[in-house]
Amino acid sequence: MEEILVVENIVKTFYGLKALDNISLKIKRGRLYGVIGPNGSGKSTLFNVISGLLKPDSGSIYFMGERIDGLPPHEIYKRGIARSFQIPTLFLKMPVIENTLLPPKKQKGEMLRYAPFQRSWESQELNLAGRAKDILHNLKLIHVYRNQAGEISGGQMKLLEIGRAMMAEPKLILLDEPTAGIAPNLAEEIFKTIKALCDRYGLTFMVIEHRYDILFQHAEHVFLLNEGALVAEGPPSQLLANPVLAQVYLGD
Amino acid sequence: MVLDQIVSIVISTGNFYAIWLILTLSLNYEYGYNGILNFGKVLFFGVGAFAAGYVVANLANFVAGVAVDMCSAQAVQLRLETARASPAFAIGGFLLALAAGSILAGLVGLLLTSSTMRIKEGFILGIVLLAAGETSRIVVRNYEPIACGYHGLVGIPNPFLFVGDAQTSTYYLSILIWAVAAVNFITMVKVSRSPYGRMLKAMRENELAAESFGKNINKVRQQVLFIGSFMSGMAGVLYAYYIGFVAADDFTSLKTFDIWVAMMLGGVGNHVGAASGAFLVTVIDRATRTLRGWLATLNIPIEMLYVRWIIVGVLMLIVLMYRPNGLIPEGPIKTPAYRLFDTANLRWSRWRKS
Repeated sequence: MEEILVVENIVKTFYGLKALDNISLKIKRGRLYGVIGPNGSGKSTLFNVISGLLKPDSGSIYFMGERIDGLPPHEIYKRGIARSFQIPTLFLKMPVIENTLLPPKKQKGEMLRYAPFQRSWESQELNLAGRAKDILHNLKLIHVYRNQAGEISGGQMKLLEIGRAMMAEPKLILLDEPTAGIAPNLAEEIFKTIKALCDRYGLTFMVIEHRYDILFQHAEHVFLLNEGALVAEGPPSQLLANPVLAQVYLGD
Repeated sequence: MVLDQIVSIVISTGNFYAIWLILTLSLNYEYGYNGILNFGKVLFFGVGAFAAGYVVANLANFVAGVAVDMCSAQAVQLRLETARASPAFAIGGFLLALAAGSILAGLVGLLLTSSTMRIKEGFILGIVLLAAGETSRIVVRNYEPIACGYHGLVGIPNPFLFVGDAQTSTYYLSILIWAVAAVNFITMVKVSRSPYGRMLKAMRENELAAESFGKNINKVRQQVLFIGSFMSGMAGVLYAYYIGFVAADDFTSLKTFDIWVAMMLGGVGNHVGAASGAFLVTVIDRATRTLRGWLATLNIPIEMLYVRWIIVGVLMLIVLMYRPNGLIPEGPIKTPAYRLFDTANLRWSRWRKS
């Protein structure tokens, strides 16, 4: 299987503190990857560096063979990496449906010169609406489509974050704690949905998660970060047997 | 006699309204839709007006083949005479001024945003624009070659002066001003209901998220300020042509805040709201000015220009207390997709149950 994301020797420091310390990892297409580690171990920073919100101090990132570190976020997004945030960053005053219609790339109606002429972009918009309908239906959000995103429940917000990333038709999706603050059965459901998307569309997911009970059932490969360094990786069964895991979480 | 007076008041109020409408729409586009704190509206309004005066004065000299000082009484006479004699000069001059004023204002907006692109905090950009507006006014006031300095540039000819009757030419100009305002309004409504409008509101709601969903926020912000400034410049040209002169002291920063008041009163992020706010502010402005004239003839010592500020202030407080989102609050944007969902909703809910 080909590698779609290659991270090589990434270093990122904040005021002298090494948030990412020489991290290298490889992501293969169509799999579900987990990223775990204690709070402050650099998981979100890693996502921010991959998606371009932060620039690494040194090291390189290749996506589909092309070097992407240092590119602005919208350029990286164009190449096929979408992400969600730990704290939902929805457009709170906009209806759910409009939230899902923002991500698609190359929207003709988003170009100033076409915007006033509805006929030029209407058909594309309605196609996208059809896709949004399917995704919202899969995520069981279809009945709240006209609610403002700020009015739906926390769990629905998390689902909407995933739906929004799906609308982008990305190749790689980075999810930052998709089940934080969500009831266990719904969290299970979310992971099943993610897994199904992996299998059905060949999408690749990288998921930061604190709930190993759920993550380890579904992920194929897990990275363990501690104090900015990649201390262990491997399939869940292998990682569970690794003494480093207990050491990181429970101390010496 | 009284009827004539009423007609002229209605027409002048209508014209000022149309100009205020364009200004308020442009601010609403920048702040209401995109969250840009533009405290320098008057700068772009002024650029349009001064460009209009400058273009028409120099064009008159060029057409007549003379080189008189554009501020002299002789030059004023020349402009008016030429406009009366030649429709081509009158209308052509207007169109040229409209294009030059709008584009120049747009470019100034683009220049100011490009140079301040690295300022991420919106209020700092606001202060930069505020300062730019005020310094430009002082420069224009003291540097005569732009618009005759302190005295202002007089004698901007009505583009329909050649029809002969002053009244009729004012009517024609009013129609023209209204047509421009209507085009602006319709375009704004259409843009805000498009995916572009959705993107603007998304940027306002959460810049970080919009950026990570592939929107080039710097480019879009430049576009927004270009369009907003372009519209303000257009309003400035219309204003200069309607009142017939431009003077630097007409463009103090107080005008900027009048536009803000209009938008806040009417409803932020909503074009109909902005239009109603602009209406309120224009009516208060014109009514107090008219009253001021009457009170002066009756020797009643009340300065209506100050009463105006009291009225606006009280109104602002009332609106902020009872309708904090403006008279007509912002609703959800209804792009065609939203409407499709609405119409299809019934069908889907039946399908879900089965």
